[in-house]
Amino acid sequence: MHLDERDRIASNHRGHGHSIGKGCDVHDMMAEIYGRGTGLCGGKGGSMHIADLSKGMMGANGIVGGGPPLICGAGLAAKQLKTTGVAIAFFGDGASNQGTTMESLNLASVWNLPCIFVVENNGYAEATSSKYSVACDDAADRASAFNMPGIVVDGHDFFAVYEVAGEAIKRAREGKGPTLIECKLNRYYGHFEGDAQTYRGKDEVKNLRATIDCLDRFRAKVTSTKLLDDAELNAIDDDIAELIDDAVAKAKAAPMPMESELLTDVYISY
Amino acid sequence: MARKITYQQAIGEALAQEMARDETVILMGEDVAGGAGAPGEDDAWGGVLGVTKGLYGKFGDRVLDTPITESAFIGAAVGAATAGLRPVAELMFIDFMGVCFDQIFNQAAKFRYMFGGNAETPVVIRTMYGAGMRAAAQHSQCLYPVFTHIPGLKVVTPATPYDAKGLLIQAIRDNDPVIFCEHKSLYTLEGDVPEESYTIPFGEANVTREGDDITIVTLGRMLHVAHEAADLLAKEDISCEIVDLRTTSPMDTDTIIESVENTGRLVVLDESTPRCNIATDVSAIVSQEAFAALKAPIRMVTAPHVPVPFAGNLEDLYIPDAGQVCQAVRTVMGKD
Repeated sequence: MHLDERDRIASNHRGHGHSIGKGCDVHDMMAEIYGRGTGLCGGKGGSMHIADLSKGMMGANGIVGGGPPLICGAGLAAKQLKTTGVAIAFFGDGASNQGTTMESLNLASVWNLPCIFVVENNGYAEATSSKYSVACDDAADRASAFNMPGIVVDGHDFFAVYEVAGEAIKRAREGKGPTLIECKLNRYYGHFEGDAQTYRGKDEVKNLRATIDCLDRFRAKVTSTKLLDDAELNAIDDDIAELIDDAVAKAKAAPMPMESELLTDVYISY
Repeated sequence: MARKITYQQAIGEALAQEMARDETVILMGEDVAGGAGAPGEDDAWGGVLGVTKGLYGKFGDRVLDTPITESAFIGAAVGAATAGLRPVAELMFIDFMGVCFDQIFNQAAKFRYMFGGNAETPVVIRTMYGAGMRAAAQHSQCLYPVFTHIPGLKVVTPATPYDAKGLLIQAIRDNDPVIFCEHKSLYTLEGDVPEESYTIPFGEANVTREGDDITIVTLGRMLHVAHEAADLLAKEDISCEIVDLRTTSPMDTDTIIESVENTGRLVVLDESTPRCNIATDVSAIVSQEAFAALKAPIRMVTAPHVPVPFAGNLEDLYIPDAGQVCQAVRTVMGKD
């Protein structure tokens, strides 16, 4: 899409989509999720720490708000080394409240860094509603305090997100500084496998699934404008299902890390 | 050619030489230039104690003043280290690790292991530590044991101008994250330092005084206290061997054990507070690895288990001194 090998991203607890988007190998990722020695991180990182620095993927992160300071560094490196690369942090409404995020917005603005901060506001940080935990109406409102554009976009609308992201990335590449984008989203699933989501309203998730599924919207848009037809979309879905099934089968069959790996990779030299 | 310069000048010289050698070395921190955006000089301070004075003039935008936001700029240094730069970030006082520790121990220290060996994070965090400046509880601590505890970090505690320069150049060239701890009371200490660039390897302790009766293992400013004590004890016919650790991670346990096997006695002198510090660590290692060589129980000389006080008389009591070291040595020697 808009990003290439010059660019770096820092992800969050939910890093699988970002990783695939930045070019991480799906089979290697699945092996990592299964803790296999053949995994992208040799089985030492797992789902929460999937990373491939060679692809510019700086890691999913177990710390809420861990990524924004790191992309200030990646943006600084791009600026100092004149690569025209950009650096993007993806984080949730929960992390949008963290001090690290506020500090990073300030630093990126003070240093005029090619950074983009993407708040994926799905309405819940664990079980707590963003209506309770975020003091302003929109997390994007905070951008004005840091002298950068703050843009709210419908996160269910692929084309709207694509357009807003493109503008922010262009702005960053041209040396015009950082942008804060808030993608308004919803979440179907709970915070963890087995989360009964008793904190959610009656029929809240059911209604969301019925009315604003982003994939349904994408399908309706591209078929009505004849960009793609149903058969092509179904074929893509089938290919992806096959890829994931194959990755799961191969990951399950792959060996665990060698026991000697316990003690390796702590330092480059020691 | 060696000439006498201060510990502070040795650090500044190491930075200048490495920045001249490698343009990916950058410097960032609070007032490391000093004066950014203000109407006066834009190289006004060179850090709060002047260690980096003059570097902005030489290297321009590779010397970056930061907002007082340690999480953001320490994290930025870590992120930049994964993206092609060799940042040297100044965390003004080691006490401020409380603000930004996540970026050091959950991020920098973990990347290489968590990412299966596919990460290099060549960042140096320079930081001032230590008591003696009447700076009270939040600007005086010796927190190097906290960093030493974390796998993935290297921890350096130079005691002399010569070591400060050689160990800092090594730290900048090293490809792992390094915490470089500078004792603020040592900045004015003068010593012989070669003008040319040189490195001192990590994990090689320095036997700074040879002796037969007892080993004193120490580090940082306490090295000088150990020497003061050893001079006094020599008058009592007690011959002390002094081992300066230089780095606490990696730690040169071979040199410690070899010395204890020769002398049969050990005092460990550490300015940090006594629970889970370098003194307890060294004592435990020697107890495990060289117990049979010990002729008497080990004694530790450390600060007490309290915050650093402000009042001068209390702070002086807080800091381990030569008298306490002499007393500990006499106890181990059975001469008290």
